[in-house]
Amino acid sequence: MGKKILIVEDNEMNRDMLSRRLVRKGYEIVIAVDGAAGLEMMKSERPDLVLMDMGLPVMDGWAATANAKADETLKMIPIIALTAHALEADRVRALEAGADDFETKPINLAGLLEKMTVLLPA
Amino acid sequence: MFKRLNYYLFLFSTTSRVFPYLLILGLASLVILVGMTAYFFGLFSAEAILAEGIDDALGGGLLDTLWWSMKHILDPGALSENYGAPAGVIFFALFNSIMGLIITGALIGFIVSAIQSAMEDARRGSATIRENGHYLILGWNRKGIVILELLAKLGATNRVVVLTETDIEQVRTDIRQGPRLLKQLTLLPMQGSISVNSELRRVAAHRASHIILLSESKSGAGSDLTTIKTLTLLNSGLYQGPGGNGPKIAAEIVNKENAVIAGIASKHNHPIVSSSDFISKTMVQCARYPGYAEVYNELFASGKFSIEICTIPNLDGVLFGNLASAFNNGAVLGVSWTDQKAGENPRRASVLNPEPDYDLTDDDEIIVLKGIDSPLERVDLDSFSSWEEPPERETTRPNVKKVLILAYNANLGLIVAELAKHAASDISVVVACADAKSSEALVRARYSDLLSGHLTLSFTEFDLAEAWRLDGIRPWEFDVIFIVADEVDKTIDADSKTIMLLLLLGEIENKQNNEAFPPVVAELLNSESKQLCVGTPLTDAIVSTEILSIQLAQLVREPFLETLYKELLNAGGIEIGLRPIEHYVQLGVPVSIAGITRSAMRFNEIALGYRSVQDGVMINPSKDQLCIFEESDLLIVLAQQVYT
Repeated sequence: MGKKILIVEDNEMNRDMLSRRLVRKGYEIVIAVDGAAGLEMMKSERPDLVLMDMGLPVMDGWAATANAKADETLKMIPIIALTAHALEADRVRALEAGADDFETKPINLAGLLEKMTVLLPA
Repeated sequence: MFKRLNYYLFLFSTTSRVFPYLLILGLASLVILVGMTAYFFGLFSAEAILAEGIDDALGGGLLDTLWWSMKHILDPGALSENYGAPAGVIFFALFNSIMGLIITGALIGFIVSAIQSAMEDARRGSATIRENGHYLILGWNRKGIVILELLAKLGATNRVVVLTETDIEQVRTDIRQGPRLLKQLTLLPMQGSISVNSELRRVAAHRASHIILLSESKSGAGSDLTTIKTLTLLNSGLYQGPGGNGPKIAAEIVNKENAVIAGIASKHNHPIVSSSDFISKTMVQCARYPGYAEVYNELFASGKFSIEICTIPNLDGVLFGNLASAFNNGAVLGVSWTDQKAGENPRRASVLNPEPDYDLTDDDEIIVLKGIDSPLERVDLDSFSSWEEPPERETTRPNVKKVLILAYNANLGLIVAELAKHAASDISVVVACADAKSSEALVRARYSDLLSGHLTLSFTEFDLAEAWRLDGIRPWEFDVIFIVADEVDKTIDADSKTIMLLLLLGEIENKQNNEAFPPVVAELLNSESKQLCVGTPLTDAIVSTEILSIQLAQLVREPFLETLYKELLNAGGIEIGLRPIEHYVQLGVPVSIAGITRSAMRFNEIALGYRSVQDGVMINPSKDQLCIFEESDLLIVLAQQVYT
């Protein structure tokens, strides 16, 4: 079984495409559709890495990331922030919230895979 | 005794349709029997037999008597043929003739009444439908006519039944005043409640091929409840065959909040369109891309194009980017596949504008934009085998920061919230409307959760009666101006108010001495009002009834489009964008559409067409077409929304 990746994304198309492509690369995928559900699934599923959209309903990605990093049991799970906001300020904001890396949409899969490889535990 | 008889008469006449005819039959039999007693008063006496109308050919017994008696009921003229018969016989002949006239008159009366009643049923729309595979529109409002028009444009050959609580004469008048195109359809307007099972059976909802549920204008604020109840009924075993093999259904919900319940009522099997949500999102897209409404209408409402899922052989290993110009007369918009997870029902996944390096497999199908009824012309696949990083380019993304909204309606809060979702940085929205204080309280109370932190929302008093105040708001200083359809004051038509506001803005624009004036996006309720806006600063007209109807009519035929429609309008997803064409091709020299398509693909965008000064909006042009573009021309693309 491949590494378990939690995708937190409210957009159905983005979710479908990213999970399809990552499954083909051998990853096991679990999905949450808002920040609060994402946090819950981090606790219940213990993923190896989280791909966190920032513009989420219920609890946005920044808050979910900050909460995860403030939780002793979750803070070691790497989080890559995904966002359509491409400004440097957005990158800084995501990293300040505690994200380990940042990827802008549209996602360049090769680039994302490289970042995932760096962050995933061996 | 008499009262009891009277009651039984009432009981049977109200519960049985054949009772009047049985009553006449019984009365006729009684009269015949009474007439036959003439036998005992010398009917076949030697004196009587000389009369022309009395005959004992069958031996002067029961049959001759029966014949004589019956003849007088059916033929009043037979009375005169008894001349010379005894007085008793004449009396019975007279009695039978008079009773015959009464019975025949009553029979004719009943028959005429039944015919009239059937005609009245048809006129009032309370007849029973005996169709199979028909289109059924449940509910009636302004959108009904546009839906019918689109069905006519799409060449629907099946009969269209409309069931509504609205006065059927009103529906007929709407249809009569509608476009000539409607004459191509066979329309059957019916009156009745759309949420009652017997009424749905009456219009053969279980045998319909497509059902469109419109919000009942007559039900007012409760229209969503009626729609939800009907959806629940239509999703029961009464209307859905085994394996969900029932009619295709699409429903309109007025308030966004009710869409979730409607989704549950439809068991998430059918597309639900929230009109308030859809209008607000479309208006915001028009603010982001002036000219969007025209593109949207051409793409979805012209009846020239369809979006279909196609199966193409040998896709395994082909990169999506390679398919960009694979069809001379079609644009490949995305991919679709059936997602089958263990223990779950299969689900169709559709993705627009995937990355160009997405490698397809044999179970992928492609989503194609093509001309209606024109088969795809395949051309050789391009030969770029791997994804190349796009070159850097300077692009100006829409970033609306200062918005003026004129007038007030129930969608205003959603428009503001949608603007906030798209805002890359702080955004300020000023609403200028009558009764500003209470409008502000309403918006803040209802949409408090949607109004985000980087949004500044303020209300200012403005009424058409004090038009001079508009100058003081300084509309030219905003990035975009919205005029929403103001239906609060029912005494003045909303479109008339919008047009007056546009004229006022036009005057202010003229005073600006050719300085740049912001784009103006206006919501209209009637497409004919657009003609009256010529010469005003209107950039985009959203005819709300029109675009919603278009969506409903298309979703009921192709439910998979629901995901696409939602995606095209949601913040953070894929959108239809208008980009300066010089980002893709050289200006002033002939370039092929195939070349532009490949160029757009390098930026992870799908070229849908272009908007040029020369040709206007052109959707899905042939890939082999050559064009020369000018500076102000725009490429229409499908692209990931990016906020900078």
